[in-house]
Amino acid sequence: MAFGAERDDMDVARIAAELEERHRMESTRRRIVEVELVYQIMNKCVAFAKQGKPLGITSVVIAQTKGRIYVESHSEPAVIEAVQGVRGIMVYSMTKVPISDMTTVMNVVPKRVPVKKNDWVRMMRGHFKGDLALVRHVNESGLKCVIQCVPRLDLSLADLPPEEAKLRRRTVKPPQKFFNAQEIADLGRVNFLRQRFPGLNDIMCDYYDGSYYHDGYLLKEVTIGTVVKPCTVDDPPTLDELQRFRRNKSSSKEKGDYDDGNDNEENAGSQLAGSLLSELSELQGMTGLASSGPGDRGLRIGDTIEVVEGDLVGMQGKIMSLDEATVKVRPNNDAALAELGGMDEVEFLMSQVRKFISVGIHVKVTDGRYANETGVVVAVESIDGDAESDFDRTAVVLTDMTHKEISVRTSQLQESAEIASGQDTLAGYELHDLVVLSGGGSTNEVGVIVRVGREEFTVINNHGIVREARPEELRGKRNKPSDRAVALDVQANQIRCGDSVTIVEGPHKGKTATIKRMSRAQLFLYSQFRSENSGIFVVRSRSCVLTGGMKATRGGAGGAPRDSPFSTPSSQAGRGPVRGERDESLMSKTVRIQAGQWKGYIGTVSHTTATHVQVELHSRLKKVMVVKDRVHVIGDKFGATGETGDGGNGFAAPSMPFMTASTPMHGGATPMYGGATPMHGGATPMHDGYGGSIPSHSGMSDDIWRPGGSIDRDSDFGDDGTVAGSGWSVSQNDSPPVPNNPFVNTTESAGGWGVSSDMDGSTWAPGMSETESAVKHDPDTFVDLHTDNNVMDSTIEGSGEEAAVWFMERVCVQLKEDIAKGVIKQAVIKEINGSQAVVEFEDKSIQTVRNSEVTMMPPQEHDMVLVTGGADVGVEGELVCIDGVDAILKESNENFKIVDFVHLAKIMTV
Amino acid sequence: MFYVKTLEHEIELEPIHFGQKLKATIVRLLKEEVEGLALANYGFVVNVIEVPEDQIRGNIIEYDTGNVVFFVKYTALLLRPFINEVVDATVAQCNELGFFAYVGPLRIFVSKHSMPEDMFNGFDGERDSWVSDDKEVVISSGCGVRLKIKGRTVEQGNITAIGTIKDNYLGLIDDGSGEGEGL
Repeated sequence: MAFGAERDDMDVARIAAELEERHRMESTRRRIVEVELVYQIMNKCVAFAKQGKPLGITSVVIAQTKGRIYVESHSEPAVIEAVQGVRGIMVYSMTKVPISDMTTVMNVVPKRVPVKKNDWVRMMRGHFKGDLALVRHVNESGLKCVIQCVPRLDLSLADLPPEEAKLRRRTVKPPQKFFNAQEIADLGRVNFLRQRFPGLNDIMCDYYDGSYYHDGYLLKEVTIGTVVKPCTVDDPPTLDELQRFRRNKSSSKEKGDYDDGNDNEENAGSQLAGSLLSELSELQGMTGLASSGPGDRGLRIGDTIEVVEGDLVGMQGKIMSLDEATVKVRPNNDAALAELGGMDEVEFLMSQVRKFISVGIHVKVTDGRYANETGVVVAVESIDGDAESDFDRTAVVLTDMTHKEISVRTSQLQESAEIASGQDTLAGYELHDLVVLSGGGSTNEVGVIVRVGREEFTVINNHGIVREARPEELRGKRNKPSDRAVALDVQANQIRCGDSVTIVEGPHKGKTATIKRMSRAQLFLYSQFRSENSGIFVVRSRSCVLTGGMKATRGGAGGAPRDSPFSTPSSQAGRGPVRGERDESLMSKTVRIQAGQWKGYIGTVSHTTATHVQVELHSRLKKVMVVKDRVHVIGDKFGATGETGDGGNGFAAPSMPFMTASTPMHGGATPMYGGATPMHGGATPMHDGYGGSIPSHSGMSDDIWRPGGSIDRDSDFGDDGTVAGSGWSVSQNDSPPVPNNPFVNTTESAGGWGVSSDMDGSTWAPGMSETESAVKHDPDTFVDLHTDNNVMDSTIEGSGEEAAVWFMERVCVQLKEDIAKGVIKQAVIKEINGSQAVVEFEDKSIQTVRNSEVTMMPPQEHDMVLVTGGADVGVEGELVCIDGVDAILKESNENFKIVDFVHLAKIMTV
Repeated sequence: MFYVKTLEHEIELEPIHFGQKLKATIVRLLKEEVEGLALANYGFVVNVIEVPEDQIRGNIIEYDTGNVVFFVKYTALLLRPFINEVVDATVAQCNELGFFAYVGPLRIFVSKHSMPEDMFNGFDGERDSWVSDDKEVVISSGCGVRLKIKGRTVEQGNITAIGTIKDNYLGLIDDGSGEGEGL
C-alpha cells in the first residue's frame, strides 16, 4: 500500500468511518469489533463481486487509532455503499482523510521488547556498533538501562591535535580492550577519579574521559531501542564474542590495588559469560579430554580390560558392570576363572585396570578429534614420557573410510564392528560426492570430496588437484548425472560408474580401479590400495580400458574366449553388442545430407549417437555432425547404392573409384571366383553377392565382420593415430600394450590375421581395407587410385591389389600356376609382408609369392579350418562334414558350429 | 586354514530351468553363487567339492512367480583365516602405510607398524617396495611373505585381515624371482 503524491491523479479517497459510540467504548478495551467489521466488509465485498457487482473499494484496514476503520477507494459513493447496512458503523461520521495525513494513519509503532537485567544486548551506535553488552540495570521507566561492555578506548587520541583527534575519532574504530587504570597511569595521565556510578550506588568506578569503567568493563547508561537492542533468538551471542567478553581471573588479579571488595571474585558479567560459554561448549561436545579427569579411562560395560596392578596383574576380562570407582570384571581366561575358585566376577578399582585394545581388532573412536572414525588397530604403543601412560596407550588405527593412519588414545577407542561410511557428512555433502566448485577461477570446476572435516572439505578436482573447500564454495552435487554418464575408454567401450577399468597410460599406468564418479571425460577412480585422497584419483577416460567382469555381462555375446589367438576379431565381435545401445544401423553407410549447411553432400557415417551422426564428407576433408533425420542412406559402406545395382562401383560413388573390376580377386576375371574356378563348384561364388559378373561389393553391407570391411570403424581412431593398424593387421607402430586390447594383437600375431608393416598412405598394403583408404582423403592416394583405375590390370606392386580374406598366416594355399598345370602343391603361408607372403611347401622349400599368385586350398573334411566371415568369424576347428553350402565345424571345446562353407579357410596347425 | 565342510544353500529357480537338466543347472548356479564368496562364520568358499544330487530338496511352486526354492547341501573347501595363524602370502601392492598380500582370495594388510623396526621407515616410493635399513630385505609386489594374521574384518561377502611380519621366522620368504629362498 503506497501513499503519497503519486496517488494524486487517482483521486484516492480514504474514508474513516467512526464506530457507534457503544462500540467505540467497547473497542477501547479490545479491538475485536473493528476486526469484525473489517471481516464483514470484506465478506460483503466478496459476495458482491461474485454477483458481478464489485463494490469499488480497494481495502479496509484498522490502523492505530481506535474506534475507526479506514476504507480505501477511488470514490466516496463506493465507500458509502460498502459500509451501508454494516451494523456498528456510523456512516454519517465518515470523513475523508486528507492526502497529507494518509501516511500517519498507517504508521506502525514498533513494539518495544522489554529489556531485563542480565540480558545480552547488542550496541547499535558508534564505535561499539555490533558489540555485545550485558544489561546491569534497567531504570524504572524502562527506557534506559546501564550496560556493561568491553571498552574501545583510543589512548593515543589525547596526544593528537584537536582536528586530527576529531578525524581519528570519526574514522578509526579502536580495538576491544579491557580498561586498565595502571596502564593509563603509566602514560602519565592521572586525570581519572574514583566515583560511584550515578544510579548504581554500590559500584565504585574509575571515571576517565567522561566514561565510567568498572573492573575493566565500560559502564554506560543508554537508551533502549535506539542505542542497544536485545539479542534475538536468531542472533545469539557467539562463542567467540562470549570468550572476548569474559575476562579471565588472572588478569583481573593484577590490579590488586583496588578496594572493590570483589577482587577475588570474577566479575559478574565475566562469570555469566563463562557459564554460558561452558554451557555452549557442552552443547557442541567440545568438552573432550579437558573434562575427562584422571579417573576417566573411557571404560564402558563390555570393554575388554587388562589388570595392571595388584595380584592379578596381566589378567584380561570383560567389564560386567561399573560404578564411580570400581569395575566388576569377568575374566576371559578359563584358567584364571578356575584359579579364582568359582568366582565369576572380580572387583577392581578403576585405577587397577586399563582398557585393552589388541592389534587387529576393529574399533570405533568415541571421543576426541577423530570421533566416530572406525578402523582396524594396526599397532598399540605406549605414550613416551607420559606419566599417565600406565593406563593409556596410543593405538594406531587404519581407518576404513579414508585409508589413513590415525593415532588415538586407547581410552577413546571402543571395540566395534560398525563401519563408518556415509555418515561422514557436512552441510549435506558426503564423502565421495561429486560437487561443483565455485571460486578458484575456473567456471565449471568439479571435484570429488575426499575428506570431510569439521568445517571444510578436501576436494580433488577434475584436474587432479587437491584443495580445501568450504561448504559455501560448493554449489550442489552432481552424483545423479555422474551415475547416468557414459564415457568411452581407449577402445571406445562404454564405461560407466561402477565399472572396473585398467589405466593404460600416465602415472597410474597398469593399475586397476573402480569408477566412483565421472565428469565429462574425467574419471574419478577409486582404488582400495591407495591411501592418499581416500583412494580417489583422476584419470582421463581415454587413458583407461574397461576390464573384464562388467563387460562380459553387458556385452553378452562375447562368445569367443579372450585368450584365443583370434582375440582381435572375436573381441570386436564382442564389442558389437556393447556399442549396440546406439543405433548402429547407419554406421559406415554412405549417406546424403538432406538439409542444413551441408545439404546435398555425400559422405560416410563415421560415428553415431542416439540423435546425431557424424558424416565424413567425401568431397571435403571434414567431418560434420548431422541430426540423424537429416541424412538419407544412399548406399552401403562401400558406396554401392542399392537402386543402381552395380553402378555403385563405378565413378558414381566418388569414394570408391578403385573398387572396379581392377582387383583381380573380386573381379570377374579372377580365376578363383569366376565360374571357372575349379574348386568351389562353379555355381557357388565364394562370397554371397560376389557373383562372377558383379564385381561390386553390393550386398555385403551387413557383413561387417569381413576382414577389411569392419575396419572402417577405425576412422574413429585413425585421426589421432592411437590405433593405426586395422583390426586385422598388426601394425608396427606401438599402440599401448593393453591386455585384451582388441585392436592390437602383438603377442598372437603369428596366429592372427596377418601382419602388415608398411602403413604409409601411398602404399596399398593388403592389410588395409578399401574403406579405410576411402576415409583417408589423402590426395596422393586419390591420384594413385585414379591412375590405378585407368590402368586396369597393371597391378603395380602394392597398389590396387587387395588381400583376400584368407590371406594370412597359417592358411594353406596353392600357387595359381600350379593349378593351371594341374598339380596340387600345398603350401602354408609362413609370413606376410605387405602384399607378399613367404610360403612353405610340403617339401620345406620356401618361396615368396604375391597374394595374387596364390589361392586358398579348398578345405576338406577333417581339415583344420578357420572361419573368415559370417557370425562366427575367428572360430577355429575341425571341419567335420560339408553339407551343401554349409559346413559343420567342431571347435576345440567340442562345440559344433554350422558355418557357411565359403567362409572357411584351411589352416595348418602347428 | 583350509577345511572341508558341508553347507546348505538356497537357490531360487525360474520355471525355465525345470527340465531334464534341472539338477545340473542347480549345481552350476550353486557354484556360480557361492564360489569365491566369504561366509561370515566359515570363511571363503574356495571350491564346491561335491553336491549330492539326492540331497537337493525342492519346495512348492510359488504362487505368483512360478519360481521354486531349492535347498542344496554341498561340501565345500573353505579358507578361514584364524587369529595368530601363520600363512604364506603373495604381496600384491605396497603403499606408504604398508603392503597388501593375498592368500588366494583373502587380502591381508600388513602395516608398517607391524614390520620389523628396521623396515619402519623403509618405504621406497620409486620402486613401490619396502626395504630394510641394510637393504637386505626388499618386499615388493610379487614377493612371497610369511605373516601372522592378527585381525579379521568380516564384511558383506568378503573377509579381509591384517597381519604382522614382526616376529621370529616371519617376513620375506620369496623375492618373487622364482628361485626361492627360505622354502
